[in-house]
Parts: sequence; structure tokens; C-alpha cells
Amino acid sequence: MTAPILTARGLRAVAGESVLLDGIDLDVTPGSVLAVVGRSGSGKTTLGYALQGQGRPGIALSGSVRLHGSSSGELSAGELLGRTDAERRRLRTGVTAMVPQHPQAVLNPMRRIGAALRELAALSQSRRSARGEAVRTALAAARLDPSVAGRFPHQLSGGQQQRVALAQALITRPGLVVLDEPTAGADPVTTSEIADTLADLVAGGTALVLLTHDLPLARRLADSTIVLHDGRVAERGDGASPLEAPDTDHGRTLVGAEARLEAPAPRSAGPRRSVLVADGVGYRAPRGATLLSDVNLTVRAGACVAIVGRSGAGKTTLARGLAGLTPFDSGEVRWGEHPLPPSARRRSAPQRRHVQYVHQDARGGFDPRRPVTHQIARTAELLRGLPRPQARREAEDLLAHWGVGPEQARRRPEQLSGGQLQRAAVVRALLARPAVLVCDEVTSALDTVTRTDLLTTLADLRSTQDTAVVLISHDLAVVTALAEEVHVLDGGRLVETASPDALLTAPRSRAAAELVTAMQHHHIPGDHMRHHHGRWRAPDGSSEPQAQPVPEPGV
Amino acid sequence: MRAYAARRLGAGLLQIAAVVTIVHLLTSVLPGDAAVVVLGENATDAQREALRASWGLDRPWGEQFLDWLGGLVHGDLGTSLRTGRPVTADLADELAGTAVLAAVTLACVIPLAVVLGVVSGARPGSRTDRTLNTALVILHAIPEFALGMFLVAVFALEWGWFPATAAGLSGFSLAEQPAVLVLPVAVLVCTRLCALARQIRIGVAEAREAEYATHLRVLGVPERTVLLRTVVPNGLAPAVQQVARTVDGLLGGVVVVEALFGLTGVGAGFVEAVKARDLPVVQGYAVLFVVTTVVVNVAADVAARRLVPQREVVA
Amino acid sequence: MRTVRCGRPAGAVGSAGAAGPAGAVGSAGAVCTAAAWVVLGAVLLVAVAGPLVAGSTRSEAGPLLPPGPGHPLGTDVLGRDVLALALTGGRTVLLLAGASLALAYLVGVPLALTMVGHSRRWVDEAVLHGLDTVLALPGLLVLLVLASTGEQHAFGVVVAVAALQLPAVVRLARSAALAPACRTVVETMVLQGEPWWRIHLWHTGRAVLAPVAVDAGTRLILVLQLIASANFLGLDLAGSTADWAVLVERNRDALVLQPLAVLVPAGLLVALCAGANVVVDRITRSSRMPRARRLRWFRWWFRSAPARRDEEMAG
Repeated sequence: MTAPILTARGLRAVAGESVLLDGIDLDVTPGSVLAVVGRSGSGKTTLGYALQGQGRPGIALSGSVRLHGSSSGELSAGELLGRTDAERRRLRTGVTAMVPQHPQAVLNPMRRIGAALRELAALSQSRRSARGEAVRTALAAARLDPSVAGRFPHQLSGGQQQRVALAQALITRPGLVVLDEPTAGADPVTTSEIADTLADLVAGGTALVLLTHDLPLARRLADSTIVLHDGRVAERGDGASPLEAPDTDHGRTLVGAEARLEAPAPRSAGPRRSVLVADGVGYRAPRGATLLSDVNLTVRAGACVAIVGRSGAGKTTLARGLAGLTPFDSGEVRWGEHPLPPSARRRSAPQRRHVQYVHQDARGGFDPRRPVTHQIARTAELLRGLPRPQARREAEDLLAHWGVGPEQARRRPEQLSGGQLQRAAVVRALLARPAVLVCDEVTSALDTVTRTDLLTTLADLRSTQDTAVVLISHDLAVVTALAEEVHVLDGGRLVETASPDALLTAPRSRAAAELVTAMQHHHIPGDHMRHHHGRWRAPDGSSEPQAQPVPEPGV
Repeated sequence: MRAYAARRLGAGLLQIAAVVTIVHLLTSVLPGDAAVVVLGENATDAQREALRASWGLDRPWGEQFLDWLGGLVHGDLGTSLRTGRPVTADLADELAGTAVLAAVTLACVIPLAVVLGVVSGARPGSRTDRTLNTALVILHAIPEFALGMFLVAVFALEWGWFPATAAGLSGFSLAEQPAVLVLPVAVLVCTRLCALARQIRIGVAEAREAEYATHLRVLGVPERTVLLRTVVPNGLAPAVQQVARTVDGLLGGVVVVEALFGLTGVGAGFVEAVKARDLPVVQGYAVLFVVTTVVVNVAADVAARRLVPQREVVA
Repeated sequence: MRTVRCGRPAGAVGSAGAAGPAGAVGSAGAVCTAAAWVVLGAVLLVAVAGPLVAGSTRSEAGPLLPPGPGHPLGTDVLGRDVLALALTGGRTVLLLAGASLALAYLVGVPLALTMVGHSRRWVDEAVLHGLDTVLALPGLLVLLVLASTGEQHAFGVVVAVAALQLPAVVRLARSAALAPACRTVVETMVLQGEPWWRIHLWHTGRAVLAPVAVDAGTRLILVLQLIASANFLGLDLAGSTADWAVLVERNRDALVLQPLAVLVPAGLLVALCAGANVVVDRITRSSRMPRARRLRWFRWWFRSAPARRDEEMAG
């Protein structure tokens, strides 16, 4: 048993009244991967910084975090907490480093990548020539092209920025790297590439602490796993065992959320009328880039249609165009025989009722000064002409049906969680009794459990209300479980339309193949979950999902 | 980059053209009583009309404007109604005086503002910061002429350290008697310092708290290095346009200070021409000011664009 | 996904809830704030209520008499009682400044909101470029040009000064209305079927009020300074004879003989401007905003770089 590189005992983080972390014990051995999984708000980011001995402003740390590492050839053992900043820095350099959650924000917008990396290299290398060498090595380890060194951060894509942040962490050759949500918000191909890079790192001897709610990533890489809940260790085990055979409720909730996706049968059988047709629509950005060209799409009543593609493929542009928020430059959108005006401002009330849209950023769509119910009820007041008290009652009822109680709903948006606000946004759109509901990446900001809840309830709409749902997402796994028809966008063009089964087993276009490969690669086929006909199967072979208790809508 | 510079320059030229036209229109069409000023209150209407006709002021505006534009292209700004000499005659002398004043002021303001801004921004909320901020806020509010009055009353009249006026000195001879410049420059520096120092302070304070700076600290870079090599450059970049605005403000301040201290300069000349309703001089000098303003702003915009890379929206 | 709020700057950088003296100004600072309030209150009282209690401002006694019976502060160069002049001289400048500011906001804010609510981009750009022509010009010079036309109405001054503030006000309101979070709420309201005026005037207007209020405080000082400086230069735009700034100008040659005639009105002006500026500064500092947001608001005030409209998200 090799000596661990990092040990934490009784780690506690307190911010004023609330306890963010309570009594965390963990060990990380060199060259291994510790995965820390948990829902949003369980304390993962705080833990990540605490393992560096760094408290964020307003957070007080106590307990013990010891680093044992070789820094420039000498063995040093040091307690990180209770030291001055300067001492901590000296202890950390060359032993441990961190890659934070939003890489774009941590890159200096005014400096070229190479210059910034050289400055970091100066921490461990005193000779100029050695610094250049260190920069090259770090870029290679992060799988970045050396030409990146001459560019500014804003000239790189999101994935490349992620890697630059990784290179920054790797440049002092630390034995341990802490990564906070490395794959959050990334499309499947990028996720898969990041996972490959990390696997290479581990193979090269670097230990990783992976803070993530991306369970497939954890399964792929972890040598030991910890489930974090409310700041405490709920479960721990070797490999990814807490994720495969969870012992506690918390573990089961996390894992169960993945497997519960089951698309209910649509309400009416037989051929259904089309409710929305996009005919040859296209859009050019004001400065000239063509974001969408010649897309044809038909949405039928009660259908669940998914639009997938990599970031930048044009999915949001298409979704917003259907709703009238970004008017198409060419082509037309039709309802039955009549074309809909491209801009929502020019649409009549019945036309606005016909197509509704739910934004990705739910919190941004609410006026912070008014109660949530009042804002939601406006839809019913304005588009259906209901008197105000009746509209508000209906809004409250529907919201309660979706899991947000009337007490909660009457508060201001600040006091509701992200998941609750997202539901409220969907209810606001539903109050118009739309024929088509366009949901734009509504789940990417949510953790696994909340995401599954929301999507399942959305899928229910098809059977209860005959509302067609258009789902925009880059998470192929989720939409293929729910959708009847999947459209793949690439570079602004619709490259493939297929049923989920056909897409997953035999994708025809290159873009689709890329996405499918990445998804499957990421979800380690064969071990614990079997993919069969587009439905997930539990390990015991039954196709019915296990009956799971419905978790409380998250606060 | 080049496209932006070209566009900005084009916009600047359009701006100059528009303002010059408006100035000429305003001053020609709205009757100024230049004739009254020259002839006195007791002149008859006939005499006034005769004088105006001799100046060519009774022609339609379009004709006057084109005539003037033609002269402008050749560098001829017209003839002063008051003195009968070409407008450009006194211009060189006055330009030198103002240039000396402006140059000395900028040479004092910019370094001082950088130092004050960085010192405050590096420790936002500290006692130094708060004291400096209050002092600057107070100084910024004081009108130039009021501050000038007080400085003259105390330093020139009461204590006799510096001369109260610079009457009789012009152009580069100002540089030979630097004592004359001390009070005017002090007034200008005090009133212009605040805006620039505050902008720098804000930039530095933001850069200091920015996530990229915090992350560098987490990665182990010493605080001093973070400050000098990341925070200060990032903090100064947004202040480039503020420098342009400082120069703009300087143009206004120079007018007041020259009038107050009796310096010979473009500003004083302009005020005299305005009081005498000497239209060609007013028009000529207005063109000069506008061109200077636009050139400075275009340069600042282009420099800012170069220094602060544009953030593209990444999907 | 960063969470942002409508009406406040997008993407607040830095730690939320920064620990430290956010809002706590310290005992010395508290004394300073109290002093500023007292000074401002006193000057406003003098300016507003002064004319009611002042004695005669006609020239009755000999010129430039020292303080004595009948005129506690002496007389000025025209033989008028300095105390009476000081009491009556504040009204004009306050009224003019207040009226100009009100006009600028009453025109500028709805204009900005309409521009933002308009669906056509080129209208937006055209108006903005048009206003930019004026933005770069130093205000004093515009007033000087105006003065050279010989017009002397208070109304003309008010309109001119308001027009000078208009570009900055429009940019500020527009930039507040274009904050990304604002856009999401606006889009949601469009989908809900809200009428145009309710979205763009009532809702966005409310969101824009906060930055506008901050700006108003600081812009008042600018306008005061502008009008006072113009009066000092002898432009006498509104034709008033007892304005504080006019007093300073008239009596400045007699600074040696009768300093009170100059220093009293100048001091009142300084007290007004400085007191108001410190008070406004304290109010914005002590409001319950995280420092990062407050810093962003000041950046708006200083910056005139075009607020970019958000490009539509790709993908």
C-alpha cells in the first residue's frame, strides 16, 4: 500500500451559519483517481478548494489536510490548513493543482496562452529554456496543438479553453490534480475527448480527484468513489461500486435517476396531423456567419421530437426561430396552411399560443421583483383572456401538479431553486395550452435527479395533453430515451432524421456517428448497463425500471 | 483590426464634417451683432448694413459656407472681423501656448493618476483608498475657476510664491518662466485627476478580484507577481478611453484657465472672439477644437480595441 | 450558467458578498459624510431661501468697501452689498442646472427605451451615431459657440446643456436595457403576449431607473460646473446679473482689494458642488450592492464605448 499523496481528516467548512462540509475523511494514492459524486449543492466545489487548503471568502475551514509529495525531488509533508497563504503556496507548488469549474473565466483575456503558461512555469523552473520546455510538455499533456500558445483565450473554443485550464494546472508537474466538473455542459464528443485525456494523465502517474455529477465519467475513470450528500460522505467504495450497487438511499437516488427514462406511449395511435412545419428555413448572423441553412422539419401533434448536435450546430437558432424570437431570414414556418410571421412580435395571440418556448436560463427569465405565480399567470390572462384570479388559480394548480407547492410559488424568484424555476418556466409556457412546446437545453444546468424528473414530466405531456414537445439538447443519451424522432444538426444543416433506435445502431451521417460513438464510448458499454432498443436495462435484465421513490424537488 | 480603424476613421471624418457644418450654420444664420460690437451702440442701421455687406455677411448661407470651405482646404481660415488680420496670424503663437500648458498638464496627470489609481485599487476599502477617494471626489467637483481663484488668493496674493497672471508671456516663452505655469497646471491637474484615477482604480480593483487573478493565486503565483504582471496591465487597459476623455475635458478646462490667468492661448483667443462676435475666428477655432477632439477619440478607440481583445460569444 | 438580474450589470465578476468594509465607512468617513450633508444642506438653503431674506442688491454704497455697518461682507465692484448678492445668486444656477438635467432625462430615457424596443437594428445604429457627433465635444465650447450667436435666453441654455448630456444619458439607459438578463425577460414577455409599451417602457424602464438615478447624481455636478464656468467666462447666457459665477468674474480683478467679493460666491459654489458630489458618492457606496456591481455602474458612467447588442447565440 503506497503512501497516500493527500489525506484529509475531519475536514469541515462553515460559512456563517451553514455547514458546507462536515467531517470529510479521504485518502488519495498516487496514480489513482478518486471520484466525488453528488448532487448540485452537496459541497463538491467547496471540497475541491478545501483540498487545496483554500477557503473561499466567507468560508472557514477546519480539520486537517496533509500533502505528501515530492516537490523538486525532495519529499515534503505538510499540513495545509492553518498556514499563511505564502506557506500554503510553497507547499502546493509542484504537488497539487486545480482545474476550476468554468475554465473560460479563469483565463486572462488579455494575455496570450503561451505567455500565461510561461509565467506559471516560472514557479518551478528558474531557467528560461526550461520554462519553454515545460510549456510545450504541458500543452502536449493536455492534447493541445502548440500553435495555441500564440492565441488569446477568446479565440479558442470552449473545449480548448478547458484544456488550457488543464495545461495551467499541469505545468508545475503536480502529483495530484483536482478537477471540478470537467465535462459540465460539454457535448458528447468533447466529453469523450476530455475523458480520454484524463485517462492518459492517470496512465502517466498523476493522481486525480474528480468532482463531478457525470456518472459515466466517474465509472470510467474511478479507482475509488465517494458519494457526497449535504456535505457529508454518504457512501464510499472501491472502483465505482457505490455507483453500481449503491447501499444508501442517496447513492440509489443518484444512480436510479439515470435509469428511469422511459418514454410513455403517445396518446392517440395512427397518423397524426402536423402542427408545425419549418420549410427551408435559414438564418444569417448580423456579421455574416450562416448559422442555419435550408432546414426542413415537421412536428406532429403529440410527438416528441429531439434536435441534437454539437455546440455551435445551430440548435438554439432553430428553436428560437420556431418560436419567433430570432426571425428566420429565409424559408417559412407554417401552421397548417398559413405561414406564421417570422417574428413573435407580429404574431397574433392564437399564433403565440400555438408555439411556446422555454429558455435555458430559467432564472434569467423571471422579473426578480414580482412573485412567481403572478408572472406565470400572465400567460393565461393575456393569451387566453382569463380573468386574473382564475388565471392565478390555474397557475398555482398546474405548478402544484408539477411539484412546486403554492406557498413556494407565491415567493419571489430568488427564493426558489434552479429546478423549481425551470418547472415554473415550463408551466408558464403550458398555460397557453400550446400545440408545440420548444424546450431549449432546459436540463443542462440541472443535476441528474432533477433533470430526470423534469424530462419525465415533459414526456407525460404527450399522453395527457397532446402537446408536441421539441427537445433541444446535446445529451444524446437523454433524448434518445424519450424522443420518437431525432434530427441531427451539423454546421447549420439538418444532416439526419431518424428514430432513436436507427440512429444509435446505424447512424448514416458523420456528425451523428461522432455523437453516437462519443456517447457509447463514454458510457462503457457492456459492463453494468445494457443498451437495448433505445431503453436502458437494469443489470438483472428486467426492462421495467426499478420502482424508485420520487425525490423531493431539490432545494 | 484594420477594418475597424478604417471604419472608425471614416466615422470621425463624418463627425468633423457634420459638426463643422452645424457650427457654421449656427453662427452665420443666427445673427450675431458683430457690426454692433465694432461700430458701437450708436451706429445707425444703414451703417451696420453697409459693414455687414462689406464683410460679405449678407450673402445666402450656402454661398458663405462653400466660400469658407474652399478657404479651409487651402489653409485660409478667413479674416478676423475685429482686427482685419487673417485668423491664422495669431494662431501659431496661441497654439504654442496652449500646447505647452496641455503637455505639462498631461505629463503630470497621467503618471499621478496611475499611481493613485493602482494604490487605491490594490487595496479597495482600506483607509488609504477611502481617503484618496474622498479627496479626489471633492477636487473633482470644484469648478476650475473657483479653484483657480482660491489658489491665486492664497499662493499668489497672500504668500507671493507664484505670479498671479501670465500677461504678456506667450508661446514658448512660457517654458522659460516655469513659475508662471505652476498655478494654471495645478488647477488643471486637480480637476482632471479624479476621473482618470477613479477609472484606473476601478479597473485595478476589478482585475484584482477577477477569477483569473484568483485562480493564479490558487495555482501558487505570489501575490506581488499577480499584482504587477496581471492585475495592473488588465486594470489599465480599460482606462485608455478615459485618457481621451481627459484630453477632451482638458480642452474645456484650458479655456477657463487661460481666461483666468491671462495666458495667451487658443482658449483665451476663442473666448475673446466669442465676446466680440468675431465669427470667422469663432468658426476657425471651433474647427480646430473639433478636429483635435475627434482625432484623440479615434486614436483612443483604436488603441482600446487593440489592447482589450474583443470577447467573442462562444456558443 | 451565470445568473444575472434584469436592470443590473450582467455577469458580476468576483466573489459575491465580498467580505470586508463594503458599506462600512469608518468613523472618519462618517464624520466626513455628515459634514458633507451639513454643508450641502446649508448651501441649498442659502440658494433656495436666500432671496427671501436678502436685502437690496442694487448698487447703493461705494464700490469695494470693506466689511462694515450695513454690509457685513463689504461691497463689490459695483457697490452692491456682497451678502445680499451671495444670498440671491444661487437660484439661477440651480434652476438652470435642474431644468437641463430633467429635460435630458425626460427625453433621453424614453428615447433609449424606444430604440431598444425597436425591432430594426439600423434605426438603433443611426440614432446612436447621430448622438455620438455631439458626445465628443467639450460642453463649454458648445456653449461658447452658442454665446457667439448673441442669443441670451435661459431656455436656450437649458436646451443646449440638455442636448449636451443627451448622448451619455441615452447610452447609459440603452446599455442598462440591453443587459442579457433583461433580454430573456423581455423575450418571455413577448411570448406571453404582453403589449409593447408594458414591456419596453414599464418593465424595462423600471429596470433602468437604478443606473439612471446613480448617473443623475453625478451628472448634476457636471451640469452645475458647466453652467457656472460658462457664466464665469462672461457669456452671461441667461442674462442674469447676480449669479455666483458672474460675481466671481466681475470682481476678480479686485481680488487684492476686496477678496470677500470673490471668495464668498466662489466658496458657495465650491461648497455646493463638492458637498453634492461627496453625498452622491456616499449614497452609492453605502447602498447594499456587492462591490463588483457598484464598480460596474461607475464604469458605465465613465465609459462611452458602444454598448454592443448581444449577438444571437449560435447553436
